[in-house]
Amino acid sequence: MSDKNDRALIRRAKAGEINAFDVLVEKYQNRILHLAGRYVSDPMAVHDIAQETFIRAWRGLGGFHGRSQFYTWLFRIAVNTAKNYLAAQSRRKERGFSATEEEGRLEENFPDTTTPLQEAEAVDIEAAVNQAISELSEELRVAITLRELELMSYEEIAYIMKCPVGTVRSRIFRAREALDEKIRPLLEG
Amino acid sequence: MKEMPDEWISAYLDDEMSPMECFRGARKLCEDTEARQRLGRYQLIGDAIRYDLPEHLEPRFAAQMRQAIQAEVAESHTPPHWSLRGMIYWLLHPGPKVAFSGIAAAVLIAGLWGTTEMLEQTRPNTAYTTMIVEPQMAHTEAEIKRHHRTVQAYLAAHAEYVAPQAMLPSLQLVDYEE
Repeated sequence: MSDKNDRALIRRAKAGEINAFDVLVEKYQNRILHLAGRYVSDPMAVHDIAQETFIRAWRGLGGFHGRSQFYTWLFRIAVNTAKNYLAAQSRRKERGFSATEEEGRLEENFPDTTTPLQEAEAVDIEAAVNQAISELSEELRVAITLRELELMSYEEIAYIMKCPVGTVRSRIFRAREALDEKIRPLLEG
Repeated sequence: MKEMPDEWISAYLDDEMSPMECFRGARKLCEDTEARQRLGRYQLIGDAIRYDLPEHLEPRFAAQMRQAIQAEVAESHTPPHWSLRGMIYWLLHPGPKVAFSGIAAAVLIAGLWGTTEMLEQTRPNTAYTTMIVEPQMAHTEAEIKRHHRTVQAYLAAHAEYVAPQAMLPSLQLVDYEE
C-alpha cells in the first residue's frame, strides 16, 4: 500500500474514524513488531512497544502533515518508544528492581496474550507460504514473486509476462487467495 | 476479464488503483471488517515471502489495538475527575502545587487590581452630593405633611382614571424638592 492510499486513510482517521486507523494497523503491525524485536527480545516488551507506538501515532495524527511518508513517521515513533522503554528499564535496574518484581509489574500491566502455539507461528507461516508458492501454477508464482520480492508494478510485470495489466492484477489476486487459504488455519490457531 | 469480488483489496494493497477507485477502496475498508482482515493477511503473505515477519506473530494485535484506541477515545471524552491516585500525587509533588498556586495568585491579583480600579471609577462625588441633598433635608416635618396632603388630594381628584374595581393609588411622601 502506497503513501497515496495511506493519506486517504489518514484523513479519515484524523476525522476520528477508528476503522481507518485499523487499516493502517493491519498494514504496519508486522513491520513495527519486527522493528521492536530488534530492540528487545522479550515478546511481551515487543508487544508493549508496538502498542505504545500505535497509540502515540493515534494521539499525534493531528500533527502529521504528510511532509514525510506515514511509515517513516511511524518508524520514528517506534524507535523513540523502544529507546524510551530501554532507558526506563535501565533506570529501574539502577534502582534495584529485582527480575521477579519486574516480571510481576509487566504481567500486571501487559497480560500475556500469546500462547506457545502463537509464538511458533512466524516460522510456521513463512514455511507454509513458501511451500504454497512452490505449489502454485507457474503464471501465478511468477506474478506474485515479481510483485512481492522484486516490488515491480503491474505494468512492469505485464511487460515481462507478455500479458495485459488486468491479467496481472487477477493473477496476483488469485495467488494471494491460494496462499491465504493455507495460512488462515494457522492464524486462527 | 471480469474482476473477482475481492480483487480490489489486492490491487489496493499494491497501489494499482485509480484515485477514484482508491477513494472508494478506503471507504469500503473502513466499512468492512472482513476486508480489513483480508488486507492484513495479504500484507502478512508479502512479509512472509520476504522473510520479513517478526519473530513472534500476534494474530490478535490489530483487535487489541482497536480496543486500546477505543478506550483512548472514550477516555478523551470523559470529563476529568479527582482520583485518589491524583490527589496523592498532588500532595506529594510540590511542582504542580507551586505552578497552580502561582497561577491562582496571579489571577487573584489581576482581579483585585481590576476591582479597585472599578471602585475608583464608580465612587460618588461626595462634595456634589452634599450640595444637592442638604437643602432638601432643610424641609420641616410640617411642610412635608402639607405636601403629602396635597398629593393625596390630587390622586383622589383624579380617581376617574382608575378602573372602578381597582383600589385608589396611595403615595407616601417622604421628601420633596421645589
